[in-house]
Amino acid sequence: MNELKKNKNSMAKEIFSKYGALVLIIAAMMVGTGIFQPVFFNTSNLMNLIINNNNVFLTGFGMTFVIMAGGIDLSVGSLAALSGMFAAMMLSSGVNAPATFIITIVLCYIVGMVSGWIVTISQIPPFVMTLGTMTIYRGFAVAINNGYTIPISLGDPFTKLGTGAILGIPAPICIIIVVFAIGAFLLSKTNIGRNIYAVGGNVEAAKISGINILSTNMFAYGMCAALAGLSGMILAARMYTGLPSACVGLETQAIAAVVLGGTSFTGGDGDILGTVLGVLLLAVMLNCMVLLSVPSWLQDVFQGLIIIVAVIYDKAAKAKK
Amino acid sequence: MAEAFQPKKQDGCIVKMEGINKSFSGVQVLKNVDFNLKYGEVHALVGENGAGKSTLMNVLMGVLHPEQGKIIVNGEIQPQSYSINHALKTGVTMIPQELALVPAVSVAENIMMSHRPVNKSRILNKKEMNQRAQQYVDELNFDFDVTVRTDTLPIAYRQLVCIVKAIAEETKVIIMDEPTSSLSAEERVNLHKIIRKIVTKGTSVIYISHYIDEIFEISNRITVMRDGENVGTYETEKLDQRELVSMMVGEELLQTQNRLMGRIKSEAPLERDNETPALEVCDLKINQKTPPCSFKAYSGEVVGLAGLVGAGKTEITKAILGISKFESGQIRIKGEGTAIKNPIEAYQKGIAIIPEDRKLEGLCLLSSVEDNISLAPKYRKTISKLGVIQKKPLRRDVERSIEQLSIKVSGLRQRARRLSGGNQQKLVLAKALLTKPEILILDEPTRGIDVGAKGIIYELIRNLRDEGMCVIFCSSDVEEISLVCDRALILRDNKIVAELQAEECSVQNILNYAAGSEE
Repeated sequence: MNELKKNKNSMAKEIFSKYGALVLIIAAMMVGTGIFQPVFFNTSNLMNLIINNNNVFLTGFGMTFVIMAGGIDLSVGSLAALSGMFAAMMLSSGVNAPATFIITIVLCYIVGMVSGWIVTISQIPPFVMTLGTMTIYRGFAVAINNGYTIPISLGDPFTKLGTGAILGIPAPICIIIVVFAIGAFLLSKTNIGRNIYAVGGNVEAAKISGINILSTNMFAYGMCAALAGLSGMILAARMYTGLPSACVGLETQAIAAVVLGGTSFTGGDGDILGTVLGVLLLAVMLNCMVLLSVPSWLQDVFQGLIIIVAVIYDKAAKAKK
Repeated sequence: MAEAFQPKKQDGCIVKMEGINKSFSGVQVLKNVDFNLKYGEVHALVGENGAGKSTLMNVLMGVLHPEQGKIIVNGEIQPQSYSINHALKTGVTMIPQELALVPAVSVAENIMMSHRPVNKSRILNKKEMNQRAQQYVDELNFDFDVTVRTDTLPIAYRQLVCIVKAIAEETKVIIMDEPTSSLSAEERVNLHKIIRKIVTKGTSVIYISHYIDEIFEISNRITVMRDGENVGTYETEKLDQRELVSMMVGEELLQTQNRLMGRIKSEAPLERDNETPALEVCDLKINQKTPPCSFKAYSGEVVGLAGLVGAGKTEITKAILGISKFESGQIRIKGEGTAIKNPIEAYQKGIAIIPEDRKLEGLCLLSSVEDNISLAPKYRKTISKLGVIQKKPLRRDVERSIEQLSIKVSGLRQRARRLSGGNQQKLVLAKALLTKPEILILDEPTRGIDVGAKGIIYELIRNLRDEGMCVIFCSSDVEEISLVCDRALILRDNKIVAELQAEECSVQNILNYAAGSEE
């Protein structure tokens, strides 16, 4: 038993062995770029790095829930655009900012739950299901104003979501921190979170242990959709506009971040801290390449390459364990 | 495949394995094992679950790589890099190997997979392929159409397809792992005929089975394995059944068995007529074809559901738990008729299950020991406040479970995948017990686990019974039924054919009913 107790304190060690490599790569990239372009370490550059990637952070957190539960959600980009359009429409028709915010996010959560419900009941692959919803949401996003954008007035309190600050920290960063804390807490400390791991780890075992697969999946997809909606609203607030064509390809970045963070693509293994590092890796790399004026086509190639390499490395490392 | 097969008959052995050592995460499962197989013989490989038979065969198939030892096939020492492709190329194949069949193509195409007939422009000649495949099938007196899709055949037939395929590929060594477990009595006789036929053509067969009768019927020689060691290889004629069983089981377990049996025998059967049964199954029909089955189980009793694989044990347990739907009938818990729709409700009613397949249905293999033990929400709810799990009681309970079941783990965060079969099964047991069930259903709880773990599980079951739990113990391992059960129901073809009290539960008695040689 003594041996078991000793192992309790090795959480820090475990986190290091899990993420050490990732942190080192990110740090190395930052230092490398900093040497060539000292402007990299400007506070404003680092802040912007995070603010500009707030939608990848938020949808990545949501995606972590779904992938952890053994699913996938391709519709987050479209849903983000739809929620931005929807919020802008509500505001322009005179609904006040807090009501708009709450209604939009609740609707997104419900839409997500419906996806989770259909995926579980009908047993269709989530890839196919959300491929469908991805197209549907985009269709509605365009339909809301016949393909035109909807402006949000400059003075509207809704825009504080993107441009405000609390204690000098920009609102998007505050939101990321809060969502991260809540997400980490939900996944690791609560019953619903542990159910997600169990369903993703082995759905048969979960079922036979008395876990409600339906409610677990509905929660995971609901969370993912709500966070996609939240990121869409932040974007609209920052742009002072609802854009029907916003966030194309966001799902790819979110999925890449989750997988780079070491979350098992089949579910049941990983955590939300990994996703943070995954987003940071993508963001830092992109920022490096911009500062070092790498041509944009090469940036895409590098991004794709690092995803493949990271996943191969991760797989090899896990096989060894 | 095309070159003619010429046996190199220096020593009459097609396969020789020498000094094979293999261990999994520190546990040695094969200890210096020697094994040889002669040309054209049926060689039975016997031993308890976990004795190392499958591991040895997987080494021969090149699926597992031994740490030490030599594999010699047809006089040639196989290289270090020996893999499944080498094995197949040298003519060694394993059946059933259901994965070796492609489900969505025709039976003929599966049989002819490695040498499909093609015309000059390399286009598949379907007609010829079907003809030749049908020839092989007819030669072996099977009756199935080779033009149907493979996945439309019942599982038992797919096994036959594998055999035909092996013969079509001119295999020299066929490993059959429990080939009759999913076959009817008639099909079994047929299979034995086929085996005799193929060995006369020079093919050698390694036959793994739990059914002692079968082994004496079909084999020329027998190798007994126990705890990863080769206990001995004997001519079948020179052995009798009793000797074989004592070699398989070993002295230590024999003692545990005797102790457990003594414990059961010393307890007089209780009069239960006035008591409400903890679990009562009334006229349960799984589907329209199956006969209705009824039984009662009381608190403080271990009821065995015995029967061969496919006799309907798992179907009954799944119906009780609400995992699968059933045609008609009723399940009563403590006298109350209930309709359990899913496992969630089963847990609420105080039922817990140890499923048949721990890897597929019992564990999240990538999750930690701690997460697996605390997997059941019914348990987690008892230690959480507002949906938040309290760490301290969780740790306390998990550590207590590990101690109680003497689970060998390197830490609470160790992944379940890293544990041995016995320890994995104990995790599943610990998980079920933490939900504090009144009725515990175990489906093949000792399949593929080591002897020591078996003993612990048997004793645990008896202790739980003494504490007043109602235990339903399903097993196709006839021997263990007599070790743990107060009463056994024998199933054959979904029907309860006999109810035996503890003193009547001899291996022979149960087997007779289960295999259907006695009415």
